[in-house]
Amino acid sequence: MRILLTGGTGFIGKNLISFFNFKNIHVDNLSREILQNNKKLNYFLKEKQLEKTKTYDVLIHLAAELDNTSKRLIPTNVSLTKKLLNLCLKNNINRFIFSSSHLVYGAADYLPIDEDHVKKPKTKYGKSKFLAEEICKSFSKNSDLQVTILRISSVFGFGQNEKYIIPRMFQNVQSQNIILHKYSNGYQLLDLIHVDDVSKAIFKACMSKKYGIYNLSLGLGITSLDLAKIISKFVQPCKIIVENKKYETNHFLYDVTKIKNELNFNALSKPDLKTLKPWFTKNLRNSKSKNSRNLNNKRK
Amino acid sequence: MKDLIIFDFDDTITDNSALDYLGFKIPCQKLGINFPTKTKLVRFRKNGMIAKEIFQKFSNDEHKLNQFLKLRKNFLKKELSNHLETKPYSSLVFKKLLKDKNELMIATVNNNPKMIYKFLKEKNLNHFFKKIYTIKTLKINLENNNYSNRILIKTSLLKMIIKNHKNSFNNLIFIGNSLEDYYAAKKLKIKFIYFLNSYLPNPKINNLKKITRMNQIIDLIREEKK
Repeated sequence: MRILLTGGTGFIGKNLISFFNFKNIHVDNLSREILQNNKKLNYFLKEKQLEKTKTYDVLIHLAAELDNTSKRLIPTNVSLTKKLLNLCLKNNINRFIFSSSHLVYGAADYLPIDEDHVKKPKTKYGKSKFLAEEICKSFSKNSDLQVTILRISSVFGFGQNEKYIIPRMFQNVQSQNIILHKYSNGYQLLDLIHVDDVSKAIFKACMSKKYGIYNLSLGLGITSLDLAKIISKFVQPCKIIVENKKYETNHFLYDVTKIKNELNFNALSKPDLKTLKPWFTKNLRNSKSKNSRNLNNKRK
Repeated sequence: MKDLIIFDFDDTITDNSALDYLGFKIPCQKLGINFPTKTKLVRFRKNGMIAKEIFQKFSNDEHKLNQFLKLRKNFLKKELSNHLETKPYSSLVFKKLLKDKNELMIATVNNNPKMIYKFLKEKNLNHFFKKIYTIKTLKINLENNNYSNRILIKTSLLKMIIKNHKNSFNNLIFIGNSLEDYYAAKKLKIKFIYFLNSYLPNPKINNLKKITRMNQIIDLIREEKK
């Protein structure tokens, strides 16, 4: 199987490439560096090099603009998706796997959220993913292209950006306090998935005969307060401050029955001590080495 | 195929007014505060006042307020099933509904299923209900102490019922006594009947089917079926 990938330099993409390499599956990466420069992308798509793409079986589209304020949001998340879908049709790539987001649902009407739940995206990013999904569905309906949409929930794992909840909590622990007002007073229900499980699910989506729209997560809810307690217990005892501020609480929990039944996918790692440990160890080691480097510089 | 009628539990199947009154009277007695009559409590409740606000009508002491809330919570926890009553004619109404080819279920944000089963057994009502859905059925770690959570829990329970029994009923009607129940039904486009009670202010929603007594349910449901 030959796979063409976009977003290979991102958080999920890097892990996915390692995963496929481990499985001895060939992956070519249309990386963010190439994609950022539209000319280069067009060049890549227009020139004879495209002949190469005829040999691909699957196109995995992970590339996305996450910044809600970015001007590239629609060109990257919507227009690029359409371009890539056309590329699949032109070059007889049978399967297109699109990484969507739980943000297409907006606030939950009910829990656990199944694939048929009403879509009311609140953020620009969520809306752009929703639009891209609609384009994917239309291609799937009107052609033989097998489109799989994975609505991925909050991902955590090695190499994650520090603005996300778990890296933020780890940072908090190091400053002795975990402050939970940012996470809706601590009672917000979260459904997380480890980045390795995302890779496994994408692999299953590539291999399976079935295709469609799937929720991708653990299907297990954990409150941000419980998550903070786990991290605090695991890393070092620290004070968990639950500030009584009024924030809109968006509880989130996926119904993962469909992906379990159709793609035979079960997420193994859970947001517990075992999964968080390696992530934490690396994070602390990095920060420790950075701190000592800073101290050495000061001494000099 | 039968029709499915889902009841809310607290103050829909049960009459909680006596319990609510005692939940003020007994803690107040312990704190040396004279709590007024049940009629006055009903008036406060109809104005949408919560326990804390009602207590503050009689005492401004912050310390006593905290003591009161603690005593009230403990009282309600301990005495819940002892002071709960069923609405008049409940048993007859449930019997008739079953005769009219309906299935009956309960969906409640109450997180004490044992108490519900005990109560229904004591009142000999348990055999009327095919299944009882509580937060425990959902297996979700959600608190039922705020408005938006209660709507979410109730909607999730109704959705779960629809999924679990979708092939076994024609119509679905939900009978509840609060705006949370109303919004949950509205989100899932389920027919809804509002049971007015002494607890909460009357809802200002147009075209809402309202009842004040249990025996009105039968006619309304027959009407809905037409």
